[in-house]
Amino acid sequence: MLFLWFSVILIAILLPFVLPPYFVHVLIMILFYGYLGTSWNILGGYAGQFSFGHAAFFGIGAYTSALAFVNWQISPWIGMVFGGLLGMLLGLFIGSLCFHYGLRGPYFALATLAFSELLRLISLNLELTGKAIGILIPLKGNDPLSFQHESKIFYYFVILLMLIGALWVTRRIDGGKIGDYLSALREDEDSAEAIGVNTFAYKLLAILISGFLTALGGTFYAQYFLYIDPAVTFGVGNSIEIFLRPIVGGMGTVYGPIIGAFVLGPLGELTRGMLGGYQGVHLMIYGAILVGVIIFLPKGIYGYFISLRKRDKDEKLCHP
Amino acid sequence: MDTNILVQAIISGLLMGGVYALVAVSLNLIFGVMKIINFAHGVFMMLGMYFTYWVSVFLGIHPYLSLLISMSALFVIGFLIQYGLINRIIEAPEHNQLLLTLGIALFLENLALFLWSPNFRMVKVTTLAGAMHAGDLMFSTPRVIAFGAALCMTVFLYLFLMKTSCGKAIRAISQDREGAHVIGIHRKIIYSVAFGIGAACVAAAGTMITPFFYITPTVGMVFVITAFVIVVLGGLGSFWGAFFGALIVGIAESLGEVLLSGSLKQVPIYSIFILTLLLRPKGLFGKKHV
Amino acid sequence: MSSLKIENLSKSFGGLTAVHYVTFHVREGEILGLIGPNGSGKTTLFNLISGFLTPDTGSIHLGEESLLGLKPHQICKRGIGRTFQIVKPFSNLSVMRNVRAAVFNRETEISRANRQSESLLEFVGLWSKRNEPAGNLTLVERKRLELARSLATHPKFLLLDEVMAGLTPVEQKQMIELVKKIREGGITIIVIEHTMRIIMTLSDRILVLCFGDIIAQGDPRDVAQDPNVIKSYLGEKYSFA
Repeated sequence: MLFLWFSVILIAILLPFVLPPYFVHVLIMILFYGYLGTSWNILGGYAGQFSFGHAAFFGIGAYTSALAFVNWQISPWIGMVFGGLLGMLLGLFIGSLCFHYGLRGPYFALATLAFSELLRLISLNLELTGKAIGILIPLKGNDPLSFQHESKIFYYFVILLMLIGALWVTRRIDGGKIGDYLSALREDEDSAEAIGVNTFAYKLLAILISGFLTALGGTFYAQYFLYIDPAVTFGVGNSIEIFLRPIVGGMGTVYGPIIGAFVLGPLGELTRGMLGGYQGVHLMIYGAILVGVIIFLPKGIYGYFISLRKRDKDEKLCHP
Repeated sequence: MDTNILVQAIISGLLMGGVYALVAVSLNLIFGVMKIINFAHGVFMMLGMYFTYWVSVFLGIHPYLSLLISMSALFVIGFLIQYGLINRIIEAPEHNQLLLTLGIALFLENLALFLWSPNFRMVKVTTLAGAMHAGDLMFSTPRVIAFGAALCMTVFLYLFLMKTSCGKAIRAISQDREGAHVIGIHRKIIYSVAFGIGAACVAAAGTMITPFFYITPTVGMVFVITAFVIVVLGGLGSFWGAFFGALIVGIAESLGEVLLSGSLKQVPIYSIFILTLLLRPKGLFGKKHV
Repeated sequence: MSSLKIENLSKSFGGLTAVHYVTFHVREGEILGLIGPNGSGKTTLFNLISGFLTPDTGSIHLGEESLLGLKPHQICKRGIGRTFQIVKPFSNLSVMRNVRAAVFNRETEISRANRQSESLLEFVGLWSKRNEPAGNLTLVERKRLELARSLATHPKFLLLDEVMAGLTPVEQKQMIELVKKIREGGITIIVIEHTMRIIMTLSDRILVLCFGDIIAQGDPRDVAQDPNVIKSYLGEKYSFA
């Protein structure tokens, strides 16, 4: 087992140096959406509060660090932290409002959608955020302190570390009291309350963590592409891309989102090449996969494997 | 602010609200019967618009004449989707159904994108075009016709649900799944019919707005979100709630367009939405708290 | 000595009065039976005590402390546990984690929490199923899980809502033994049950509710012969244990 992990880490470190830049880019995008999916998973998978508007946190993070850099020359690393804190505050706002009024399931999902759309419309019309034009981040070349580099390898390692961080947070949650509490309130909120879980507080905790991490992802995006606008940050399409990975891979599991990312990423790239042309056609494949997963593998790919393993374990107990 | 402009905006909003009403009422039908939040509703409307476009272009006829074709086509599509896909997960948790319809919407919308490109298309009409005048106010004729047609369809739908045996079967099943099942109503067929009807109605709305609305694959998304706002505002499961909610939202949007800058016209809609969810989640006319 | 005092508790829904100026005390260490026809307000009473509903009038005191306005998880922390009429396990979690989530209420260290969960599962007889997803359990197993979960929070008072419903006579007998063992552990229990026979077997005292009012309370035999009680149960068969 240890050997497996060791070789995975070794491969992960060596890969960007041996692959051509295009493939490094594909890998970065896979890790990136795996990171975002992992962040979403804490609220959507573990706490069971399905968010349809995570683009809100993403956009807040992206715009905060971008604006701080462009207007006040504040390093995007610092901007990233501020973006994360603002993401947390947004989570606090949305969460307090929604959870206090007991919004659950599709109602909560649609409410988060409304919030992200409102933010999109605001950023579309605000001078500060550049309206429809968005924000262009000035090229600084090889300047790691300004979160920029000419080589993609830099970005690869940044997102890899972020992903590892998010996975670590998820693992800590998964194995302990917070994970049990979140899963309990996800499964049955009343029963959870009856056994002493402060469901409001824990839902809030989930949205705070999730919002913070997602906002950090927004900054990464801004620094990688050096351009952001309301549609690509706050848009519904972004929210969908974010929760698609955990659903396909397996909500409420540690590795589900990243597995989903490794399935959807290459598929997306392939179809982009084959079907070519218009923006978003790869979503057709994603849509089909989503339909397939919901019907045949509702627990996601990883979730399915976990249940298979459990079944085998039980059968071994019965038939020694 | 010139009162004329305000009155014009309100009536414009009302006209569009009628169209929204048909969209919302059909979405509500699907929710009321199957408890499914149909994200593909906007895509059905978009497909209705494209059917109308192609029929109108190839047969050289007025888009209104393609109404039956677009409705029938979408009835079949809706029926098949419910029968073949959604019926399989009828017992699954709510958010799975939402995701399924979202997946279908994603697939269909981007299929349309692939087949027909994002280029905006327009249907050109020469008859029943132009504008009507009432004093200082002016209304585009196609919008008035769309309003009238949507209203008629809404009333037909209501009568269908209330008076026909098929409609009654649909209502029976929505009120008591198990009971209806027991007395032999074939649940899956009824669901598929209801879904097909919902799709056909929203396709009709699509057909009626082609004379004044750009046709593009992504047009559905905005409509479906607006429809959700309306249905929540009116109360999930309430037919007339959806109807009146649509008129309110139509007017709010129109006023937003006039009073705020153009692209902010949706802000009042989302604000209404959030306020409704927080303060009166069962909506204005809603029955049970979901 | 802490007792549970309910005074003048009322709750209406729209025009319907579910609980009507109910007053009673629960003495430490007893098993109090709560019985009444359908719709008499028994579960509503439980919901009021455990904080899922807010009363319109009246007070609830645990010892000196008022429980009014507290959320269910706070009431749980103060020592009142409850089960639900329709059992709601955490289906996608293992039986073990179902209980552990409740244990975390009192114990934060993971390995100790695991051990406590296991001993609780042994107590209710579910240890062999500890790795099963709770959704796979049979009805009686689910009820035992509910018991284990509420016991995990170290309650002083336990509200059991129709814990016998749907069980076979053999299962009911086992459950009755379990409830008695719980009381021997020092926990005060209020039981809602439908069947007179079970209530008579279990309870030290009985409370009879009818349309939100207490129409009789006291010793089981006396209550069973109370003419008001007989009237409200007209047509229902019951026998003494």
